[in-house]
Amino acid sequence: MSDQSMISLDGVTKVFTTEDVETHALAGIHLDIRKGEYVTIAGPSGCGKSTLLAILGLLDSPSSGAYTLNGQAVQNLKLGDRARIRNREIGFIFQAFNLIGDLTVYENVELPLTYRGMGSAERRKRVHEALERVGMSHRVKHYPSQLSGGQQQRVAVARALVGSPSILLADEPTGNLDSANGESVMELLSELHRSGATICMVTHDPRYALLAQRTIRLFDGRIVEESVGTVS
Amino acid sequence: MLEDLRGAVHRLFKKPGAAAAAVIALAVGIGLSTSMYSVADALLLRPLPIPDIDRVVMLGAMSESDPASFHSVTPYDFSHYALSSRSTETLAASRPWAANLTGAGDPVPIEGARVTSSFFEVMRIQPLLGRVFLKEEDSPGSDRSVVLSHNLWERQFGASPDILGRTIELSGRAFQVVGVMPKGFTFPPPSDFWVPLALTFAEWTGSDAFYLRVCGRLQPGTTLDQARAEFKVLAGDLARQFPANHGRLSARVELIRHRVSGDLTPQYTRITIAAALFLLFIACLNVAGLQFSRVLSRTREMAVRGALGAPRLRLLRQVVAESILVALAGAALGLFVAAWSLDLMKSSMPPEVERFLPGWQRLGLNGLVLFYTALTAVAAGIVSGLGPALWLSRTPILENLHESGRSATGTAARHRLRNFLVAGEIAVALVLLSGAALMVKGFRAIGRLPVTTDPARVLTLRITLPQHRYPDHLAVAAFQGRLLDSLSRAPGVQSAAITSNLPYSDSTNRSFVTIEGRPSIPGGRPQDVAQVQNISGSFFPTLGIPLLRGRAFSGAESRDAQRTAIVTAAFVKDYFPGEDPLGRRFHLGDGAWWTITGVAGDVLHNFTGRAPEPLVYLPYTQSGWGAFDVALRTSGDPYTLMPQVRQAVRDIDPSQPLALVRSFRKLIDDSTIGIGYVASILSVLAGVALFLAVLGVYSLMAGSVRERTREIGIRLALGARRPHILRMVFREGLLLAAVGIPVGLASSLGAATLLRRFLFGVTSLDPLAFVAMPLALTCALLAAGLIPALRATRTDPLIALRHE
Repeated sequence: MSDQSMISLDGVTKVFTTEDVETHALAGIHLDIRKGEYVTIAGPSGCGKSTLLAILGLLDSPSSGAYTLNGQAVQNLKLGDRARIRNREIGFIFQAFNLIGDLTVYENVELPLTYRGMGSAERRKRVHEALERVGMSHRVKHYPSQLSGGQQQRVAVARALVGSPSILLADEPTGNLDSANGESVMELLSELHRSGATICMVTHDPRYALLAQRTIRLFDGRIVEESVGTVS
Repeated sequence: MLEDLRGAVHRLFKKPGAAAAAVIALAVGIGLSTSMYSVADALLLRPLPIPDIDRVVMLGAMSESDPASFHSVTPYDFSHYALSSRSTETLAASRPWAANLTGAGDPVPIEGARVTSSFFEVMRIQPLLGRVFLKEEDSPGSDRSVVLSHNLWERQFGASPDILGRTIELSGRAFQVVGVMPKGFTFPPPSDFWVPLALTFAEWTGSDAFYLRVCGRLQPGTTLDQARAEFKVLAGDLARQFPANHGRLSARVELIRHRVSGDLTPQYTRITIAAALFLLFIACLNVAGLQFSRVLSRTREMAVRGALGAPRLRLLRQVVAESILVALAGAALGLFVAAWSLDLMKSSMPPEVERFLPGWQRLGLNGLVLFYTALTAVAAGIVSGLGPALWLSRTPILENLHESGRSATGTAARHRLRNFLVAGEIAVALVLLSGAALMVKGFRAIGRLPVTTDPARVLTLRITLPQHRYPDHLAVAAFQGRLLDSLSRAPGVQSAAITSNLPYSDSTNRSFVTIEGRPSIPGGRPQDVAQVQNISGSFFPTLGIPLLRGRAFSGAESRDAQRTAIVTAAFVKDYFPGEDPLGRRFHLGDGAWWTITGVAGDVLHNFTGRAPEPLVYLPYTQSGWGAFDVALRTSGDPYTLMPQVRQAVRDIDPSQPLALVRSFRKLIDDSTIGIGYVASILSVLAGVALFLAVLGVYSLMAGSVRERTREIGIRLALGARRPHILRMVFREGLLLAAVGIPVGLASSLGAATLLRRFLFGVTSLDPLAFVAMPLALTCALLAAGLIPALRATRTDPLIALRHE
């Protein structure tokens, strides 16, 4: 792990066992992500992109290998500790937005802060700031079903940002959007990166992969190529 | 429609687990409701196997000051009514007769009636064997025929086909058996035989003694109100003719099926039917919840059907057909539940109580009951299916077509209907729980009423001396004196007493009271009435009733000496407030003055008495009757005294049988069995209701957790920990309780107000019903939510996020 690394994976493997079959989703992944870096993970379907992202987001744990986040070994943490780190250090942006339909835009964005036990005044301030940043502050009382796909994804980005996480993990964030909305969301991520956010994004789309500083290509659970992109 | 039903069957078999749960819930609800209806059918609608029963009435005298009263009439009254009435086809008179069946093994006490030959004409029941009475048997001297009940024929004569023409002895007099009635006929209850009334001409002209019970059959097309109006006019004739004893009387006409059911049975039956319907409603809500889950899984299919042009009614019918099918299956299974519960009720009814419940023997599943079951099933099917069907048919087609493409989770709208159903279940379950709690607590309180000290140590029995062998007071008093003397000396007996009627024995004697120096009846207060009870001197220690002042009877009071009486504290409170009652005199309408020599503690004579009535005790030696109760106190098991009692009676009169031999505890229990039944039935119904409500909450929360899997995954991904998820799921259950319990409490208060008149020894605002039951229900609901909540906390966020 280099001195500046925020995330460091060392020999991480992930094996799924079903009945008599063992599937090696990840095989010996070594990866460092520095603070403020914008990394994309690319590769064909089934190459292990989502598994890697799930391990990075502490939604899953590696079968072997070491995972260090901000200097702390996190690969063997208990469920409660992983939840706490997820809440404070990681912001998720999903392909399917995953907003909660019964909550308003405001309540959706506020959700990670309520799990943190933050006071309501501070929460209000942060939610409004986050929604300002994604340009959705005029829709605080709306429900997700009243928004377009692009707007829903902006709200999801605000929810990922609101807790000031160390890193934003985005899983195909434009997968459910038309091209105009997709570009708009990618523009938003680029802006966030320019203002200092660390981003790790899984994408199929080579145009969006090029927006990152670095692209990691996976194939059969291994990193087969790393390339440096052009960040706008 | 056929296609809808075929489709419904197919879908039900596709998810047999959920269908089975719905069928079982409805089977319990419909089954218990059917058994309660069966009780109503047997006891209220058709208590007697009389053809065209709604044309058969009973006629009695009614005190103008007490419209609820229903007295016997005099023979003269009967003759007047029979000759003058145009609203009735036939009128018949009867008079109960407690006789001793002798000459066929051990003497047996049996109850029957002396009836006019028109009695069976009114009843229109053909005898099973032989004949009923002929007109000429109404005359004295030609009246030695007897018709037996089916029960007595089986019990005492082994259902012998040769019974006709046989001579039997009733209280020492020979009667020839001329007929046997069919099973189930016993009127007036608990009649086991009928003999001709055969009054003499002089007796028929008597207008002073009110001892005849009258029944009649209305003319075809005559209404009950028309008959009432006519008999009111005829009673007016009698009042003008005999102002002294008929002046304040009118006539009362009631359907026979209302009179034979008594006052409490119809009300108890209504309570249990209402409770069973409440339970059925809970079951319907439960099934509606299950149906809703099934419907949710078909939203896409329905949307496609709608898009293809299916009319809304057709979609609605599809879902309701499924519910009706489930309900019919539930009804089929429910018939087993009904049969089982009816068997249980029948087997737990003591024979000595059953005799007084006309129709109980015929309790079972018949055509009318099956029709009720089918009707209930269809109604339950509609109730449980209509809500989900309406919801589904109103959901916009486009929304459902894109259902699986949603990118945000949303369950509130879907849950609103189910939440409403489960909150309703909770509310209704609480009504049943609190109602049952009140009834059970009340019933237990009755069991603890301070009737006497330690009633389990007292043996009681009834003796009815035949009039032809004990024709006057002296003969009766001699028998009683010898019996008391013998029993008092028997080993193990602490004290022995005789009394005209024991508390709780369902037999009371009331009389007008006129205090010396105060206005007499008529002109006195109509409430100047007291219970009158004849007792031996040892009555108070035997029953454990305290003598508060004065002295007890010595047993030597003769009829010629000064007549003495002991009154109760309630009597003193009513008649001598602030005065010394000792030495004061009163009479009971017969002119004889009774001097008060003692004051005894109060005692309740039945559990429906809110407060003890004024009561007068008279010495049996000065006012005894041929029918009386015996009470024996012992230090051990009272039943061990039975051989000595039998021997003591046999020594005096070998042909004298004993009746109703039981401990005083058993006597009290038998008299409260009706309310005990209601309390037990309500407890069972409330228990099932609680189970269904818990099941409803569990199903709803389990379903909710299942549907919210993805949402839970999102929350976990955002950093929610187990307590957060646990709280989230529990909050849903608590919200249901927070809505259902206040609604249930408000409804329970209403129900308790309605139940108030059936609650004895407990207030309608008892904390058990209104604090403990809601708390218990809340705990049960929380427990029901625990499993789904814990399951939710074990959700794997990765799997959950992939969940559709």
